[in-house]
Amino acid sequence: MKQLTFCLLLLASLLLFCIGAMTYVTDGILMTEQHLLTALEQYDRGRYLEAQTSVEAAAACWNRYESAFCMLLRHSEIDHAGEEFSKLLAYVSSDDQDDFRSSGASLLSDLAHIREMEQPTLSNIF
Amino acid sequence: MLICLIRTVILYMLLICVIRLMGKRQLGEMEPSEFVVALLISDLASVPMQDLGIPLLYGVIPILTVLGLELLLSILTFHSIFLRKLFCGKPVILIEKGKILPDRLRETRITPDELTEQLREKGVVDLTTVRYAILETNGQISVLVDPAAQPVTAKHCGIDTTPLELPVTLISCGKVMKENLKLSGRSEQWLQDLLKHEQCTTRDILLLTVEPSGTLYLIKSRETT
Repeated sequence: MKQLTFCLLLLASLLLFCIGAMTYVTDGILMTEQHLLTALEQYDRGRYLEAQTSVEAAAACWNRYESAFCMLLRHSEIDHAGEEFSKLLAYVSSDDQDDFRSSGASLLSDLAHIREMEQPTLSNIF
Repeated sequence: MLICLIRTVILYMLLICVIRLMGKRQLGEMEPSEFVVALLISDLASVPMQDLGIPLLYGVIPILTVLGLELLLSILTFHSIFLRKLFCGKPVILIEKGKILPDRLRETRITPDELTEQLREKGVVDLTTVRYAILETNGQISVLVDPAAQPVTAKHCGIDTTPLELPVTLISCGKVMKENLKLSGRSEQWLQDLLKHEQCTTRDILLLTVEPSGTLYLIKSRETT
């Protein structure tokens, strides 16, 4: 009975940990995505300064979660998103509109990809 | 991370099914689930070990999942005969009363050559002397030879023998095993007297054992002149 309890506890805690990790990653990325979407909207309306603030907020949000993400996600995905953030911050301050939009869209799609990769869907499992 | 856990569960179950379907001859000396664990653990550990871009948890979570599943499966198979048959299979009789059962050989895909090889390894040359040859769930073949063809033992001859008892190690590599000394009913004083008699110290002794009958076996690290 002790052994059964132990292994059921082990499996249950693993499951809980994984669900917790998935929720944490999803929340962190959704929050970053939200800031980015706001930044892109503001940029489209010509509110560049506000857009810059939103991009910085997105980057800060990403940085806050990054160290935890390094333990939970493949490093290549995090590094790639990090590079995109650096580019975006450079473009928003240089008023390079086309590059900002394309870089922003690319970063959004990267973040969405990371978030979707964590979802326990059939396509991800198989 | 959750994907990692779900994938591990699926692959573990799949591997057990595959190993079971492959038959007992693939196993060696392990049960199917043990074989799967041995197969998986090393690879699971080596991938995050080599690739620094993969978080360590990608190795830790699947390894712990495999451990949990293996424990769960072994507990379930211990308590349920149905599950034991399902996951471990059941022994198959290949030779009965000296006759090879061809259907069983076909079923287990063991050729007569492999069977005779296994019998030879167990010292059996004459097939007719084999009462039963059983393919066990771990892939090993147990051979039960007809009592008439078995070597004569002291019991057959009615000779009284003293029961076998394990010798106790008192000194190993120059170190006194105090627990064993107590177990054998000897005191440290007795050991000191023995060493004095042998003109050596504990450090000079590689191995000293004592049998329940009192027979000592002493090997020195270096032969003293």
